[in-house]
Amino acid sequence: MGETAFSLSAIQWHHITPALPIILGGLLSAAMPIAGLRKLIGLLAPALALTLWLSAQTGSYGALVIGEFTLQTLRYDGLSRIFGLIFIIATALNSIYGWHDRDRGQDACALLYAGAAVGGVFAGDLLTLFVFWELTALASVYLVMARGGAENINAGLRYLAIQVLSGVTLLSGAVLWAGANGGSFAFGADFATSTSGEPFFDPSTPGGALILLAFGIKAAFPLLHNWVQDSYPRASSVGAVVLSAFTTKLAIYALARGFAGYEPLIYAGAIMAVFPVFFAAVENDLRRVLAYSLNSQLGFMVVGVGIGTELALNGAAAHAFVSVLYKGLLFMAMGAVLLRTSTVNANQLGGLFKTMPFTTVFCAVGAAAISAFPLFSGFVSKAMILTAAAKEHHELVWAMLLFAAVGAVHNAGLKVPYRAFFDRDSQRRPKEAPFNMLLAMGIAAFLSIYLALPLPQGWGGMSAFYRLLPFDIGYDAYTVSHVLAQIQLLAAAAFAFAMMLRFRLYPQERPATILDTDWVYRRLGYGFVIWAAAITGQLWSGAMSGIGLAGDVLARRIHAAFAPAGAVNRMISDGAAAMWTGVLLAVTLLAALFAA
Amino acid sequence: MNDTPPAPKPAGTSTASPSGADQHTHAGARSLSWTESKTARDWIGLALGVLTAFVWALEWVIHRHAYGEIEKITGVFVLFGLGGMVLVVILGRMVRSLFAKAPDHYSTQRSGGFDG
Repeated sequence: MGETAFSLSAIQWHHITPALPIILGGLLSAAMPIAGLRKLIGLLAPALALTLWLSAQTGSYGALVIGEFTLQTLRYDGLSRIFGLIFIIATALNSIYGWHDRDRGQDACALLYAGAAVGGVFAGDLLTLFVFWELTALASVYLVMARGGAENINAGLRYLAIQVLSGVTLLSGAVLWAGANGGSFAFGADFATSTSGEPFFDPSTPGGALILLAFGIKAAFPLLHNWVQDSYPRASSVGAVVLSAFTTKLAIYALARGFAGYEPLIYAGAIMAVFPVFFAAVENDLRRVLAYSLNSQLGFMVVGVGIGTELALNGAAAHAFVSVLYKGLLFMAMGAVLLRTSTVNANQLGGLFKTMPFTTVFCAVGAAAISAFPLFSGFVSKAMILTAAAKEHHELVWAMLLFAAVGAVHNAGLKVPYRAFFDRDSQRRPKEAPFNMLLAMGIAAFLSIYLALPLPQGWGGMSAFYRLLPFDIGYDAYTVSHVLAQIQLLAAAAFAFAMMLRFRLYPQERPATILDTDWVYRRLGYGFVIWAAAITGQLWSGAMSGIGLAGDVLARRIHAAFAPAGAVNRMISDGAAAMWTGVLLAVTLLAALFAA
Repeated sequence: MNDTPPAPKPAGTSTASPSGADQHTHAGARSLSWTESKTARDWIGLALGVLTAFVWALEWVIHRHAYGEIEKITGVFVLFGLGGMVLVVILGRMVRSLFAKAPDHYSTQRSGGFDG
């Protein structure tokens, strides 16, 4: 009998999806009562995932045959590579940021959620995508509810309903699409060396339209967006950071995979970029401001996907990458403020730089990045999308994006750091954020700068970042024109902001609920449900009463006829009744005898 | 929950120890308190104004490549920065006047369930 030796070198590592160690880490965390070990798992899992990412090779691997279906768990190409990497980085940063937190549920769900997002990025078919799509929903809902309380739990339920709706829509679309395409559940085009410029899924077909709708819900399309603002600010200081990284960027990836070059996305994206700006401008909850700002940044990415050229898709991927970092950094800063002061309301904060100087600096880095300040990451990504729009002669869209960029400067670039850390003295003297939070913020801040630096060859920086992008097109962000234009925009915007403050023209935030599209299901929809329930209740009561009444009448009639003192007994004597019963029985037996 | 810190002290209450040293204020942070003064803010505003004027003036010195007709307008980015910031604030106030409700707007309507 021969020996069987197990060898690590025999394992085909490049066939294993990087999602696996993260998901396994999440399951292990759920069963691990020791917080310290859970934290180590939170670091080990993304480290293993990164190893698998590094060993992956271009192509499709990891096929799982289940019945008549073949699930492709790993498709590695230019697009999945960059999205997978940023999700793995975000997983590690989230684990560091949440190191102080002792909530086992959050630890486990954060990893499961991240793993599902990574799995969705590397999914090679629609069914595999659907599995991970739903897992992101189920894993992330706990993060929304983790703070407890009726309002947060209800927000979590609303979040879950919308996410599951997206999943069901995706599955329906996938089934219809496969039915119309010879049973193929193929998910989008391979981003090998170039893009065809045409969307893979046809939105004019029922299947394609449903798939687009499913992606649009998670990407926070206009009118479908408010779940972001409803849920993200409800999460804990750690939970909001985790939530901000994955769902929406997974949706952007899915759009890029399936609908690159679909022109209506250009206009939808432009609207997405603009309208949240006005809501963010008057929100008092600074994390809600960041949630609206996130929506606006997604609009830039959707525009890039819609344009569909190599420059535009590079821009969308790059912007998604850096957005995870700088938006995460801003949420981290606000999470630190929430942890130390128990509030993120603009009217209750101010002057925190006195006792939270590091958090202030890191928040400022995030603000500079989202404002696309030269030498910060947003500068090298947003430029590609704007240039792509201009090159394709979408002037109105270009102008809308430029206006949205000013909005980003106002909301996340100036308002959030100014209201939280400067402005008037709120008399709060909180301690600085815990070391683990500062470390996570520091790493995110470093990356937000490093990725934008035009360093010499071999030093990394922007050139290394651009090499990660799906297409090699030799774009240079640091032209004199671009740098000058951006500085003009920023200087003028900052000057206008300063003047409005100086002459007391800037409105002070105050606590309020700003109605948005969630009014439709929170008021109108809820009212309809209450009305329908009342009507149904009344109908049911009426039906039950009617049946009961009919039953009573029937029972009384039967009793009146057959009771000992009933009509039947009064009309017929006992002897006669017995005789006729015997006659009836004899007739029945004779009939049965002859019928057989 | 880990997100519940001790209640903040009332305004004016010092966290200073009996020896007079504030245990929670970083020494480096104190030096930034000059930014709170009105004079400092005026100087910052002036500096931004000078910077804006300077970079606008560079339009006539440095050729800026433009792809579209709007982009060719001299000083278009300065105009977008100034006008855009004002527009964001003005339209934001309109949004608030139209759509702002009480903070507990959704909480007042039901006795439990989906909404909160």
